[in-house]
Amino acid sequence: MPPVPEPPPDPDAIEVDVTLVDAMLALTPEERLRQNDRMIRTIEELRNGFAAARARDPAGASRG
Amino acid sequence: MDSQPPGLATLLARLAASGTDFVLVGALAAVAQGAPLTTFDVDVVHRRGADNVDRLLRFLDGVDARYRGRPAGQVLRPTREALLGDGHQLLSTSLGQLDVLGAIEGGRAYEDLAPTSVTIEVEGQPVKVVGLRTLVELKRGATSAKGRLALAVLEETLRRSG
Repeated sequence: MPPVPEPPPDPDAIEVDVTLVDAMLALTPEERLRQNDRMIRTIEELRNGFAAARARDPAGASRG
Repeated sequence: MDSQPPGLATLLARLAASGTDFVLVGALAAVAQGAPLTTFDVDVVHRRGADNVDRLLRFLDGVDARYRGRPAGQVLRPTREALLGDGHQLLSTSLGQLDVLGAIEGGRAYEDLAPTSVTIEVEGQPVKVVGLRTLVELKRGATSAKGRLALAVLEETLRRSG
C-alpha cells in the first residue's frame, strides 16, 4: 500500500518550543515566578542599554 | 548577599500575607504552572466583600498603589468603591505592577474561580492560582497574535503537565 502523504503544514500553526515547557515544568511554582522576575530584570537591562546607546549615538543605535 | 530588588513573586507573597482573598489569574498564573512566558504584572481577581476590600485597600496603601498611565504629577489612588465593583484597577506599586480585577471574561468573579483554583506556596504564603485548564478556556477566544501565541503555549503546557 502506498504511504499516505503527510498533510501540508498549516501556515498559521504556532510552534511551541517544548524544551522550554519541559524546563519550566521541572521547576517548583516559586522557582518559575523567580525565573519570570529574572527575565523582567534582563529585559529592563537590555532596554536601558539600548536607550543609553541611542542617547550616545542616535544613528548607531538604530542600525541593525 | 542577594541585592536583587523585590519582584512580582514578592508582591504576590505580600498580598497573600495581608490576608486578602484573591485568585491569581493571567500570564503569571500560567508561569506559576509551567508556561514559558514572561509577564510584567500580577493579575488578581479579589473577593469583593466589604471586609476583604478593606484588607486589600490597607495592603494597597502600604505599597503606595496608584493608577498607571496618569499624567506626571497626577496621582490617583484606588478607592473602596472602585474595588467593590467589577471593574479593572490597573495599578503601579512599590513592588511592581498589579492589576486588581473585580471580574474577568464572562463575568467570572472570585467565587467562580476559587473552587477550581490550585494552591501554591510563595515565600511561605499560600496563593490560589486559577488552573491551567481554565486559563486555556479563557484564552480560547483570543484573536490577537499575542493571545494566539499565549494560547498555543498554554495548550502545550497543559498537554505536557499531564
